[in-house]
Amino acid sequence: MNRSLNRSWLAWTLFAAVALVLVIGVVVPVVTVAGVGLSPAWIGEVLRHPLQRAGLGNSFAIAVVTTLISLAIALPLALIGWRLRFRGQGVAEALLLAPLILPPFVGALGIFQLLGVHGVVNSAGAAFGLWLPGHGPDWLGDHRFAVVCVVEALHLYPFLWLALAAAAARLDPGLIEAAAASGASRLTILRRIILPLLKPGLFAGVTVIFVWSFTELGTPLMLGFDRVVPVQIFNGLTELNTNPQPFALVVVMLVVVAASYGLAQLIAGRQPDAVVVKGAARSAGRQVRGWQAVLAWTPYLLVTALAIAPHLMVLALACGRDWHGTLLPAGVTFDRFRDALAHPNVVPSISNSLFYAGLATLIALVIGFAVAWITARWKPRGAAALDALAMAPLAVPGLIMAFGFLAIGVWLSQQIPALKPWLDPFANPGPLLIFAYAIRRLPQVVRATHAGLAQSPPALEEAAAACGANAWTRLRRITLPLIAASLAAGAILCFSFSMLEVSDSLILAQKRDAWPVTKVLYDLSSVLGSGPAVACAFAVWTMAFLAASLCTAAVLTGRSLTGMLRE
Amino acid sequence: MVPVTIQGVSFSYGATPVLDGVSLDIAAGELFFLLGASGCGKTTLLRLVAGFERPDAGVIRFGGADVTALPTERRNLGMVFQNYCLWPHLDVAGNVAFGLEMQRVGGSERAARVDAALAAVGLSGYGARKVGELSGGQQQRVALARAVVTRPQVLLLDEPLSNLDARLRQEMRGEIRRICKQSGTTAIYVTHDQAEALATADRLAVMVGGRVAQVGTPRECYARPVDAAVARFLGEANLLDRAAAIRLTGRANGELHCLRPEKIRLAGAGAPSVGVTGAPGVAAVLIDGAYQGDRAQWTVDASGLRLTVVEPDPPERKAGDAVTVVIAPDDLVVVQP
Repeated sequence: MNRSLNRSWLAWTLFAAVALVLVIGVVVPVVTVAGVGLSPAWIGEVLRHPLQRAGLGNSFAIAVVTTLISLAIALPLALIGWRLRFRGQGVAEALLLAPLILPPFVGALGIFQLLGVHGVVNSAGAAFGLWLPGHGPDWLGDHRFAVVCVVEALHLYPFLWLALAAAAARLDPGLIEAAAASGASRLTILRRIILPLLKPGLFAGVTVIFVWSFTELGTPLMLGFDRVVPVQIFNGLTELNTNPQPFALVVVMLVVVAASYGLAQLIAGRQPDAVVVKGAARSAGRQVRGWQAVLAWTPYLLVTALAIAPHLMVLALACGRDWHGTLLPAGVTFDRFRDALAHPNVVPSISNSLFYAGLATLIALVIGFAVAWITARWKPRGAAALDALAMAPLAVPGLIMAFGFLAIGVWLSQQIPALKPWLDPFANPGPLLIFAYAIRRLPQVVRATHAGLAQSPPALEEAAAACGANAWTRLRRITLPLIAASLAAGAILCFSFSMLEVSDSLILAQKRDAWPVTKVLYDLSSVLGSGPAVACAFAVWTMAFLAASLCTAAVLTGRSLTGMLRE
Repeated sequence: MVPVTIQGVSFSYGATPVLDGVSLDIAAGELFFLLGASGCGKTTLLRLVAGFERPDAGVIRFGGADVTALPTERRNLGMVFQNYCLWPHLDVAGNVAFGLEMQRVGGSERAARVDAALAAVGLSGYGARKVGELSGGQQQRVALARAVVTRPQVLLLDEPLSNLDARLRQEMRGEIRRICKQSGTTAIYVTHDQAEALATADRLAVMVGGRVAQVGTPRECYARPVDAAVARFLGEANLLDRAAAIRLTGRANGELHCLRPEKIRLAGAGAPSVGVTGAPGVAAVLIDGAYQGDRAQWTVDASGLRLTVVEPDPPERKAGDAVTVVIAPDDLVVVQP
């Protein structure tokens, strides 16, 4: 009896420790931000100030338009993929997911070359005689709003597509056949049967995109669209001590985000049970061949090409020489790749990022494994709440979390000066950045580990106990080797996305010699002269690194990249 | 080789009681079966003996030692699981050797004992195979080798044959009995298959609704079931109340009786009295039946009583035939309702 008491005491200690870390990492930042900014006077001032009102209006408009564009891209693609079967469909669908691993922040670098007054598009227009050379439209000046929306939509549509494709896969073809048998036309079936059945998936995806584009910092910042809430918050940081305005803005943002989730929940409602097909669902697809298959491929290729165009542009910019006002660069050079690595800020930033991301991965692995073990194996009362807490960073915008960490760090180091060298982001942003990365990427590790544990039956551990293995040996010899692939996949996802994390990096890294990769990229891009080109070369390095590590993860787990990202 | 004693063990999952005051004495070296329908608590009892769960009340002893609160890994067990539970990241030899590693049996002795265990289950030379490359029957044999290689003081088997086909099942149950008896270990075997239990067990416990209904040898339990539930669970049973017993045999020994179908003899119509017992015959009509080759199972109506009859080497009969059923009064076993 003593021993079992002992064990449950240990387990509950673990539970409490994990819960404490999650509360500190997830709840406290949000509450802090809300608490500091929740002053009627400040919020009133923010809402009255014309600049901030314009920012709010722009952010809202960006979110709405981005969501609509994403929907226009993702819904037809999901329906095509559901109705048609064609050769290479898996590849076509994998291509659609490319934006998930291409940071939009980096892509923005390529946008200038693509859409600048002397950019590729205008040069092409001039070549075709649409306008005189050098007199094309000023896309980034006059149409900046549209450009931001399109760039964000091309980055975010995969989330909606994944949600819709998953919902469509669960549709029982019998329901559609029944409607057809009742004499409904194709359009009626789409409108009256398919769309209502897809509604939960639709709302899940739409909400994610709305919230994400409302709070996205990287894209408008890089494209120089200053009059949106996230950029206003970012720019307000420099005068944080004197100006409470950023806090009030974050609170307003938090309210909009919470309202969006609530509204989506209210409208979407619950998924009707009858829709779920158990076991072997019949395939709803019609096999198409020849020119019809080519036709089916076209939208996939078109969307993918548009989505990766900015990143291809980054690659071209990194290699191109004297590229100004022409369709193609004057020549090719690889010097920039060398220059990038020789730049005084670059090398330290790589080692900084490696260090931050490495430690963050370690922390996320330990916490993630503990959460997954508690929710998949032990399942005590409160396990669901713990899981929800660990998954919350997916729903809370990065900007809000980063801002919360900043506020906590600053406040704590003011209250307890001894903590200043560790927690003040202006003195040493390292610890805060590491913890923020770990919390931010925790959901991926938890999901991967949870899936691994769910797939290996607990009886395998019991069998080891029956053979005389104690708890530690069971963990070391049976559990961990069995889920090693899942853990590795989670770790690599966590590590590589931490290397390219934007919100936390830009906001928390307030000291030059502690800058991570993304902050240096941002800084380089705004340096006149060769800065942007060197930034592009550096960005190519980081994308190559990301691609290599994701492929490693795929090989380790023996799974397709698509399958891994879908998780 | 130790006796296993279970005393007053109760267990519930949340508010649902699963076991209610179960007590059993299992002798050293015995092959003991826990038999019952699904949900009767037999697997839960085995998991308590294994130490995967702790009883709410009661004591479990291996030999003289109270193991109730001892963690599984310190109970010196061997266990065979329903789904085998072989570790997919280890090869066959790795699976079998694991328990020896835990006992810190090293080097040449470990290798020798793994080889011997694999030889005992007929899998010599399979040590380097991946677990996934084996058939169901072979996986079962590896699981058995893994369980006995450590020479456990108690061997637990949880429906070990339920995933095998009928033929293999019959072959393996002889195999399991041979290995248990060779090693001399005390074994507790859970199954819902009464044929498996009757054919293999030294003794068995029939469990009904979280309680032990009867403990005895297979013959005792089959021939002399204590109550209607046990009678019904172990093979076919005609349950006859006092009036029915009197109508069929002229006398009654209790309120409820169990009459096994193979104890009823069928004779042609009009035969008033048959056989050396001198029991009276009762006129009956054949309602339907199933011919099974070496025997047939009939349903007959004996003046309003439905009876199941098993007839060996059956003659040609068809529904509607008039027959006489002959029953020896001593074959009516009194059971509790």
